[in-house]
Amino acid sequence: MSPKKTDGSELPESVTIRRAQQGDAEAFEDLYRRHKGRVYSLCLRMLGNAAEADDMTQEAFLQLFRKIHTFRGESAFSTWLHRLSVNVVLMHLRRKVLPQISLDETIETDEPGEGVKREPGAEDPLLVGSLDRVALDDAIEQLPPGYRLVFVLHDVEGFEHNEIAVMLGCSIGNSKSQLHKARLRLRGFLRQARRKK
Amino acid sequence: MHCREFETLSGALLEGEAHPEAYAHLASCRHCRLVLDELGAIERAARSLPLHEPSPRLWDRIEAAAVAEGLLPDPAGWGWFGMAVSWLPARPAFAGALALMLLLATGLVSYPIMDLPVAAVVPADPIEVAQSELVQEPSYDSRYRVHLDRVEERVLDESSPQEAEFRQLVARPMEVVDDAIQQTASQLDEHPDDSLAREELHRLYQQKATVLQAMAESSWYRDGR
Repeated sequence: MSPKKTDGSELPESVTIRRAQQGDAEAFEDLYRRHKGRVYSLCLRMLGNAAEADDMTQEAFLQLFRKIHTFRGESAFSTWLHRLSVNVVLMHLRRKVLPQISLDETIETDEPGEGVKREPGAEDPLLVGSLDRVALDDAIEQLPPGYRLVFVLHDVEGFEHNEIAVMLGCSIGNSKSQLHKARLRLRGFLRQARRKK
Repeated sequence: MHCREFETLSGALLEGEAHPEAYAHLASCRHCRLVLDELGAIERAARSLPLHEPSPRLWDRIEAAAVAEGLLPDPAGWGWFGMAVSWLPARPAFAGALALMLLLATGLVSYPIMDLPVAAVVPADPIEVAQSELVQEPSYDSRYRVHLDRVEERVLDESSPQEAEFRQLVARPMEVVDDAIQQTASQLDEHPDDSLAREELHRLYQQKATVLQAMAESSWYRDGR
């Protein structure tokens, strides 16, 4: 149940944060309710697996509970939580997945179908303007993990290449190249999906 | 400039870098204009993707884990079961069953408690105490136990092969509870007036009832019974 004012309206987030910093359990639940969608979506897109995304969302909120007393309001709370969640997922990937999906491995490979194909009848601007966001979400899930990470961090979550390079331990050039290839791959998936309809 | 060369620059163009030779190619190549437009559309759409919702019982898991870690105060009704919930993986199909389970479990364990004569709990006279313990207590505990054994038998009989995974999940917590019940019951046999042990035994019965109910409800839920 979210903390409410006496008139029934929700308390401002800053008040909820202060209460959570004082250990108020209801305030924690309220923060969870407010931010669960964003945190879970971030985890799901970075990991491509719903069960793992649940686990990492749990870990991100536990981390929030452990560290909320360090939040000083220098950045927006959502930005702070967002960064914390990204770190949780990256730590998880570093432990379990990244060794299997080396960024350098995927970045230099010119995989078949990577580049832009000239296809007969493919010159219609089907994807522009009315791009189906649900289809794009599905396409992101199909990306190889290395591409997916950079695409999600840059295009979905708005991190800069220099930040991504630090997070993933790669060069800025790698991050840019990976992103470009991810977008090309997504374009291919989206066109394919459109043709199947 | 050829399309292939343009392709390598298109990412940089989307990043806002200036490449005059690429602009010249764009002006004359419909295909590359389309590619650039589509990549730009993907970039724009990525900023407003729909949000997904986590499993409905994720908060219960988080709360249980936070309580176990001492990050949140222990709310009434948590404890062992909360810890068990936090171990379980995300299974949206169980969400409804879990909610119902808690209600049914409460009913299940409250039956023998409500049935227990008040005199057996607060006897006034020492002779009455001895008598009530001789007459009421064994019957109370054994009824509890028989009831649970019957439920366990029925749940295991009725569970479908698809439930094997869930049964496996609860096997360890169930084993822990059964061991604890056995130990506490032996303790009570030796010291029948140990009220803490009796309280603990009832708490353990309640936990077992909760797990059994979870198993039963998950079958019923999935089979649409």
